[in-house]
Amino acid sequence: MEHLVIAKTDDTPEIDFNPGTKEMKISGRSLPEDVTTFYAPVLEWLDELEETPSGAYKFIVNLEYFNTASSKLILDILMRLEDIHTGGNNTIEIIWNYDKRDTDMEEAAEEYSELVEVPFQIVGI
Amino acid sequence: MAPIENPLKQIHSIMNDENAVLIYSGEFNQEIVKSMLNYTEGKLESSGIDDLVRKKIFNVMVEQLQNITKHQYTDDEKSVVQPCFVLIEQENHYNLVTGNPIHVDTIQMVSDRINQVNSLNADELKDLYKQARLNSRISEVGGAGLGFIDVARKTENKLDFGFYDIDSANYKYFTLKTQINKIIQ
Repeated sequence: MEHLVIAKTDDTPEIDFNPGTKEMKISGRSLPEDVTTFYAPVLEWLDELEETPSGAYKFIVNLEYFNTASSKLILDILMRLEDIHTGGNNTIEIIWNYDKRDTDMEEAAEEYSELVEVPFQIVGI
Repeated sequence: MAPIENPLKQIHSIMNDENAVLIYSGEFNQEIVKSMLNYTEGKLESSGIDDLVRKKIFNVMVEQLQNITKHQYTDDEKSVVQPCFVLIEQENHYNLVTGNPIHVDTIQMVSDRINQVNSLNADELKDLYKQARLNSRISEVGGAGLGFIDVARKTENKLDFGFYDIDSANYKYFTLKTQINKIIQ
């Protein structure tokens, strides 16, 4: 498992998936033109994690904004995390931080939490 | 909500309006969309707008602009009217208006989707969004097919739309006007 780091840009989030700390972080804004290409290395990394028994991982979301196409890819990521969590090699905990005044983001996080069977904390900051 | 008048007449009247935040007509691509977003965020921030309203405008603007970016191209280039975007501040709300050529064969589908969205309340929109996202596949042009539902949810207002004749047998001009209230409940 390699440390996956993608620097943030105006329209893509920072990705920091660290097998050392067992933290997978996504932060910033996600509105790329081509979501499939942007998120491909993230999904590949998760495929590898699913095959690699290595412990308890945290998926930490600090997203300020995402567009509808990203919303679909985030769902794909969360479902992959659910597969990993139920697969037995590793456990997953999701921590979704949001600006506590931002009810749209709170609602988005709640909707995701209803869809996946993974420990899911939604934290207003 | 009153239907949108003749779009060109309306854009002309908006251009004379001192409350226009941004007016753009021309080619749309991701770089131009990013510039428009940066410009608008800066201008809104310096106007002292509520952060949450600014965020909502950003959200809705991205969907409307990327919708044009993905669907602007037409196959009879010579008769094409340029796509456009207008953001205007009114007393109690902001309006975001987009216009772009649309093929006559897709008008019924777009019209049905917006009418469906307009017929639903907040809870029904939430259910539709969740279901549509589960079933969605990212299209060839990179869309998830969720834009209208998302915009209706975020604005909490009905979508105002129309299709206007342009000088083309195969295309009409599609306008979409959304409204974001300055006071968020």
